[in-house]
Amino acid sequence: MRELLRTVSRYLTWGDYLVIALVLLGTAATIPLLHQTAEASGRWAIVRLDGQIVHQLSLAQDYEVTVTGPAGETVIQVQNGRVRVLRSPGAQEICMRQGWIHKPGQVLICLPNHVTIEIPGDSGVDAISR
Amino acid sequence: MRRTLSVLKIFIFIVLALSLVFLYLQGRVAVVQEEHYLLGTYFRIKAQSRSHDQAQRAVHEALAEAKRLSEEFSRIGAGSLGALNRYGASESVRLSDDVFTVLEAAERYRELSGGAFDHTIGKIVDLWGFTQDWDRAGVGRIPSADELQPLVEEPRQISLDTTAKTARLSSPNIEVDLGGIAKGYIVDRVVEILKKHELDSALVDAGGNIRVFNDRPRKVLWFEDRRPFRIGVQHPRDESKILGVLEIWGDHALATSGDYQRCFFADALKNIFPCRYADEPDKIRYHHIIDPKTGQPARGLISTTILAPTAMEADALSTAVFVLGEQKGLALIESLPNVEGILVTDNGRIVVSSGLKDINFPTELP
Repeated sequence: MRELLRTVSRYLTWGDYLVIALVLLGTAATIPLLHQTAEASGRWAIVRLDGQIVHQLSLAQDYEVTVTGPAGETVIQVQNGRVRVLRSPGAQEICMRQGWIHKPGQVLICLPNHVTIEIPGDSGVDAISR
Repeated sequence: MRRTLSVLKIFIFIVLALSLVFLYLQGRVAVVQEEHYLLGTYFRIKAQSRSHDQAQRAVHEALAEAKRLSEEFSRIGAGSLGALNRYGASESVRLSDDVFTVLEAAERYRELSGGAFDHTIGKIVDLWGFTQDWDRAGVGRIPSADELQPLVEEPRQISLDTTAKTARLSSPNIEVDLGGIAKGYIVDRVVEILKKHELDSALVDAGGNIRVFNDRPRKVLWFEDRRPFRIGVQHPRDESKILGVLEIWGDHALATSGDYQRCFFADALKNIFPCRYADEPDKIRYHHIIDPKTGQPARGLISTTILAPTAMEADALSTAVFVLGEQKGLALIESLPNVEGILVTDNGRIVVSSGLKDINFPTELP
């Protein structure tokens, strides 16, 4: 091993070392960048009406948003980095009773009003058979 | 000597850099995902291709077809199925090719399941309040025996003419409802279109009725990036949980029938309470999967998930097996090639068919 290193080092100039160091540094620099984009995806919620994106909600602030769908108004609340549905038409009130969501991959579905709220990201499954 | 060495070094660096770029380009795939509201549920297509434009075109064409088909299969709408339900008892009604194909398949599944799958009981399902626009109405009722009995006892025959593509109903009490099978058919048609566009892989999810295909694994040099689709199976008593994950390779479809999908609760005084996943203490759950022989919600199983080659087969069989119950349902699954199932009984046991013995699922509801 030591022999090999000595042979290799004999053929490398300081310029080669510089290039190698730059490549390594560059690669290392992109790793936190990749990590960051994955993290950031969890700080948004995408609101769709009939499949069309109507809002991209930042989870960094607290506020309420109203979406008007075919059955009426769906009121969405953002608080402490979480999202929930405050009010939405529909007798079963399924999307309200689901409560808060905050993890990537979680979805709220208000079927009667054709509204879905999704926190994008990898939930570990591609779909759920339900 | 030194000169040749540095030329060699530069050459090696260039080759390295180029291969990195090549690797990056090889590994890049375009993912196009679109979601629409169709058939009373969400309809999602996720397509993967090396070309973004190609994936986009495929998904658009597929969604347009899904939209067209969803109107064809409305049982009260202006399409030929609506016409069959309005006039079918007094005259033969010409059906569209799609409706005829599915009606024929439905008749086949009715026979195969010994009547457990039945597409002719629309009127009985209506009596329970589980109408097509259930999500908006959302309130069920318990019909009296007097209301149910004549409908249950009535023989419900459909005569089909394969050459003329017409159908006739044996009684005005028949209401053909292809809801338990049409969704699967539409998913299959959508997959057909996506495959025609030579996508690498795609997932079609119609409200939990899923079909995936993984035709061409992503290749990076000689490495095949073989990644299965991971499909969760819904926990029937807790909306936020899944029972487990199925890893799907190749081309398969999955459908689940559960007593939590459309339901209501009633207390001893017959007061009605809204549907939910968890059981309500001292209340009885009534759901939309009606046993055609009794006219009552099928009891014994609370959820059935079927894995099959096509979404239509999975769709029809998940209903059939739910109605048949554990023993007969499993027997039906085992009698069919390439069909597997995961059943949850009302006492919380999880039963899997012989082909799924290796999956890592709990044996009881967690």
